[in-house]
Order: sequence, then C-alpha cells, then structure tokens
Amino acid sequence: MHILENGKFRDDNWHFSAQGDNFQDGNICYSAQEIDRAIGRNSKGKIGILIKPDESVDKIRPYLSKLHMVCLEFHSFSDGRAFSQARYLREICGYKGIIRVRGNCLPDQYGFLLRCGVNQIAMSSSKMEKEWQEHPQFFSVAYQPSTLNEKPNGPLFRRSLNNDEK
Amino acid sequence: MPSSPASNTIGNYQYDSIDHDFLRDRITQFRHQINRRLSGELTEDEFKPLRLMNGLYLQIHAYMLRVAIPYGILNSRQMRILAKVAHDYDKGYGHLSTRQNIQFNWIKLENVADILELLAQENLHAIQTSGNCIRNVTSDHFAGAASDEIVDPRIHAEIIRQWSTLHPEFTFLPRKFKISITGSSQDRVCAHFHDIGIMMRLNENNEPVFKIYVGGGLGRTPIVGKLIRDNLPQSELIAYLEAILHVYNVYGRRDNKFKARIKILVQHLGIEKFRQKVETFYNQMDHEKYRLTNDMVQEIQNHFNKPTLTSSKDAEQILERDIQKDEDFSRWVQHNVTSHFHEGYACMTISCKSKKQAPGDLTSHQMNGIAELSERFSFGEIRISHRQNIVFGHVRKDDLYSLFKELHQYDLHTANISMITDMITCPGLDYCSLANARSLPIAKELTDYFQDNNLEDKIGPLQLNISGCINACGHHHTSAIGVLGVDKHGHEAYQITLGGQEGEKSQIGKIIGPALSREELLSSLKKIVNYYLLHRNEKENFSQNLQRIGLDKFKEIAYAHS
Repeated sequence: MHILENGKFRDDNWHFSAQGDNFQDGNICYSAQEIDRAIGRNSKGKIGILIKPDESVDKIRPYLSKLHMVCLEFHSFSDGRAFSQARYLREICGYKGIIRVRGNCLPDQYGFLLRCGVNQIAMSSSKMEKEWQEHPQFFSVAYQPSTLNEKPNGPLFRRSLNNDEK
Repeated sequence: MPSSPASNTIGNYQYDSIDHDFLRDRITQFRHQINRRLSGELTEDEFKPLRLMNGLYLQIHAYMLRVAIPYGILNSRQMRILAKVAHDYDKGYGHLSTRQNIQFNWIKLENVADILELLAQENLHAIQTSGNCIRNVTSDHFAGAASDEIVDPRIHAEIIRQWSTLHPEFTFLPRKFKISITGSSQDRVCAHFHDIGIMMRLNENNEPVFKIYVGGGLGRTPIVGKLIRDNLPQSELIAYLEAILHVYNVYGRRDNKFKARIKILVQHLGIEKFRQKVETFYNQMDHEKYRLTNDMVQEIQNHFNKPTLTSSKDAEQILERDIQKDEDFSRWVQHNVTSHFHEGYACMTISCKSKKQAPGDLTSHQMNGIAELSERFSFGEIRISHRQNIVFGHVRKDDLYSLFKELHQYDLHTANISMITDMITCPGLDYCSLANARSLPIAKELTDYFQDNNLEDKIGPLQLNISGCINACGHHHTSAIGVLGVDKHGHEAYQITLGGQEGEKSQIGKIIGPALSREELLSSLKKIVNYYLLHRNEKENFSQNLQRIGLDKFKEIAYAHS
C-alpha cells in the first residue's frame, strides 16, 4: 500500500486479510470479526484490525494494547464516521498505536483526520498526492480541543496548529 | 497587522487579528478549491460538500450565497458591506433567512472568492451556513434588550459558534445540524424545533445553567424536541454538546438522506436510550479538557461591547404625546415596538413584509438606510429575526417617532409585526428546484387582501407561514395557519394546516384536508379567518378559538362550497 505519513509518502507491507487466505507471516490487518484469530496468532508479524464505518470500536477495545494498527474506512468522503472512531480510539480508549485510514477521502479532510488522531492515509489513487501533502497548511489555528492537545492560543479553546507535525 | 475594524461597535463579538487571519485562510482555501473544480481535478460531487461548507448553493437560476450572521447580530458597517454585495454582485437585493442569515440569490461562481474577500473586510463570512455540519447558532432577536430576559445568550452563542467552527470530528455529519439558544423566559428561538435547543437561566447561586432539548425539527417529519438534560452547569456545556454530536455522528443514518437528521435517531432509539448513549460517552470524557470556566466566559464577554443607555426622564411622556398626535405612528408602536429592560428604551422591529416586495427581501438601498438609521437610533447595532424582519434592540422611546418618520423614505414603516401579513414564506417554485408550488404569489395575494380590506387589526396577532414543499423552509408547521405546497397530478396545489405553535407550547399544525388549487386555497383561507372573526369570544386569539371550536369545524368551513 502507498501511504502518507508525517508529510511523506512511502510503500508499506501490510497485508489485509481476506476470508480463506492463510497468510501466516508479515504484518496482517484482520477484520474485526477475526479478532480472536488475530490475537491468537503465533508470528513475529504485527497485528492490525480493520473497523468498518458501521462497526463499533468497543468490539476490539479489550485488545487494543495488542494491536499495532487500527485501520478505518471511508466508503464515501461524506460519511464521516471514521472521524468519530479515531477520536474515540484516542480520547476514550487511550489507544496509542497507529490509526490508518483508507478509502474515499479528500485531501480537504486531512487536517480533520490528523486532529482526530489519524497517523496514516492509504492513497487510493496517485491523482491527488500533491494535494494531500499541501492541504493542511491553510490554517494556523483551530477553535476547539482535539486529540493532538495543541497549545492554547487565545481565548476559549483556540489552539495553534503546528503544521510541521504531520 | 491591524485587528478588526470598528472596535467600538456593540452587540457582536470583536475579532482579534488571529480571528481575522483565520477568515483570510478560509478564503484562500476556498479559492484553491474553486480552482481545482474549474480545472476538473475535483468532480462536482466532490466539490459540492466543500462549496456547501462555504455557504454556496446551486439553485434554479444561479448560485445562492448564504452569509452567516452569527446569532443574528450585525453592525452598521457590516450591513453596508452586505448592501454593496447586493448591489455589485446580485440584482440589488438580499434575503433574510429563517436562521438569521442573509442570502444572495444571483451569484456567479467566478465572483465568489472576491465576494468573500469583501465580506471578510468586516468579519463576515459564509462558513458552515450549509452542508452536513453545525450551522449558524441562532438566538433571540431581542437578546441583551428584552425585558423578559434572564441572561444574555449571545456570549454562549458565540462560544458554541467558535467551538463548532471547522470541528474536526463534526464536519461530515449524516446531515445538517442546527442549534439555537435563548436566555429568556419566553422562547423566541424555536428551541423545541432545533436539533439542539438550549434554554439558559440562572440557578440559586446566580450561575448559568442549561436545559438541553434534542431532536426537534420541521421539514418532512416535524417533531417537537425532547428534554435530554436539565440543570447542566456552564462548565459542562461544551463537553455535553460534544457527546451529543459524537453519538449522532456515529449512529445517525447514512443510507437515506431523508432519515438522517438527529430527530430520526432520537425517535428511533427513544430519548432514554439516546440519553444513555450520550451519557456513556460523556462520562468517559476528560472533562478538564472541555471545561468552560467562568474566566473563559468572561474573556469572551470582554469581546462584546454594551451600549451606554441614557434616557431623559420625559421619554415616556414624549412617546405618549407622539402616539396621541399621529394615528399611523400609534398603530406602528402597537404592533412593532416591544418592551426593553430599561424604562427609557424600547425594542423595535422593522417589518420586511410590505406589499411592495417579496417577504424578507431587502434592497441594497434599504440595507444602507437601515445601516444609517441604526447608527442614529440604535448604537449601530442591527438584528435579524428568524421571522425575516430587522430589529433595533435599543431605541430611546423619545426617538421612536423620528425613527418612524425616517423609515418611510425606505418603505420600511409597515406596521404589521406578528399580524397575519407578517408571514414567513419560502422562495418557492419561482426560485427553488425542490418546490412543488409557488409561495410568493400566495403571500402577495393574501397580504393585499388582508390589508386592502383593513382586516389585520381586526384579526389581531396571527401567524400564517407558507412553504412551497414538504421541506418546510417556510415553517408552516409552527404557525397557527400554515400553507404547504404540494404536487397534485403534476399541478401546483396546496394544503392547509391549522394549530401550529412556536415557543413553550410548541405544537405542530395539522393538515385539515385534501389539496386545493390556488383559487380554492385563497378562498378557504378567507373563509377560515372570517369564521374566526364571527365566532370568537372577546380577546380570544385564533389558536384559542381553534382549540375551543375544534379543527373539524374549521375543516368543514374551509371545504364548504360557496
């Protein structure tokens, strides 16, 4: 997968488990239904879980400390449930691992994704890569707290957005 | 860099330079998005939510730009900028919306970024006035002035506005989200018909506490909101709102646009289960992080200036004298003027419902006139009511007569506030691609009829609202008499609703019978009003009369052949 992290693109080697396959090694991202198989895995490879927009994070909450990655999805850019799932993982569950997002999201959503605690974006096409890299730099402040716990900058909940940290 | 202009204006939040920079950043971002659309990099589908979040709709004839007027307060400089937009970029007028915004109906896409630059000069913008995000927070058009006010809601309206601006989690909600807030014992903000309606009061320690209603709304499925939490302390306001929005974003329907509002979710789960979900999340939040302290509130309050109210001892007597000598003025005071907490002042509503133009419309000339008059008579502060009228919050009683006379030159002296001709009317089939029927000609004909036959005062206060389709943008559900445009075998037709009410006794009007043609509608409405006039008890208003006599009787009258 071609992913964007910290403002840079790279390829990575996560395999997304599909029903019936029997990959044993490497980094594997399982569906939420396969959580038992994922946790019971006997391998040096890393474990991830894919949560669909209509699935509850609470399903995997007891196992979060064992997960290296949680992957969230956008079936459509207008379906913003991944924002809530990411926020919930960070703020309520205290999840410290990687949150990746894949699917149909727009570069215009990058700033929001980061503030909800997402680290990595899987690129669905190379078409908009430049946009993804450049987009968050439009704003230098935000008006509410976020999972990034940015520095206060002014009255109420205004925060400084440090655009170097992506 | 200089901070916001005119820092001596009253009534609305004074930006600092960082706030002003934020607006500029937003415009830069939107220019960029427009260019990507024009170059084809963004499809119309992808561009649509982005332009909607900048208040840009595509309608039948042109783009419509909806400019935010946070909690309905403007200063005169802002009004002049709006007049300039109307004149330079529109057909010379703007339209007041039912959520205290202003709309321009004839905008070209290539001018939008320039218009936003112009607006930003006076800290105006179109952020989140459309799209599936948190919209303009609306409030009491008599805020900070009404004699029945407990606490001025504008500070907290501003707090909620800031908190909801480009919120990272709540910008791609299942559907639009509307919040209103009042600090009066009387609900003038339709709190029970909002996604979240907030009523503020003071507890026994004089601290603000909040009553939160959720899941109210109009449209295709009108529902009165349910109480989710009472006595919410100020410190918890933002945390609680976060919890409600989070639950909505997670559980709101994504499969069907017409079932995606929070009202549907609350109805589906029931308020108990919905509250449980909200409080489960709320109880796990870090409340320290979201705490709204007194200091924070005070800091926001410091960005608001208050008017210096000084009046002469004779103000009341002068007003009485003026009333005695001019019958038209007397009538105008009776209908358009309401009481202020300061005995030397009054709140005054300028009716935008004259016979001469579409309800809620203002020409750029009128906007400039309002700006000038507000500076002379009301500290340069202007309010927009959700009934699509203009309010001056602080007018000296002994100035009212001069103001009344000045209003004549702008045709803004119509004395009909809360009367049957003070209608909320949607743009209807003349402008809107969603409409089934035209609404503006109905409003015009009814206005002509009631005014030409001198029936307004005889009828007394009576709300009549007109919607061109079931989306109910004319709020026909909440008026005593409502008109709903429908499609009957491909033709424009109308249904009548009776018994709607805003405020504490919020009620949804009931459809009384099958659809009528335009001629039948007008005839039936006249019969209904006539019947009321003939059969009411002394001092009985229409709603009371309807309750006493019963819907069935009015239905019979409406559908009787003449």
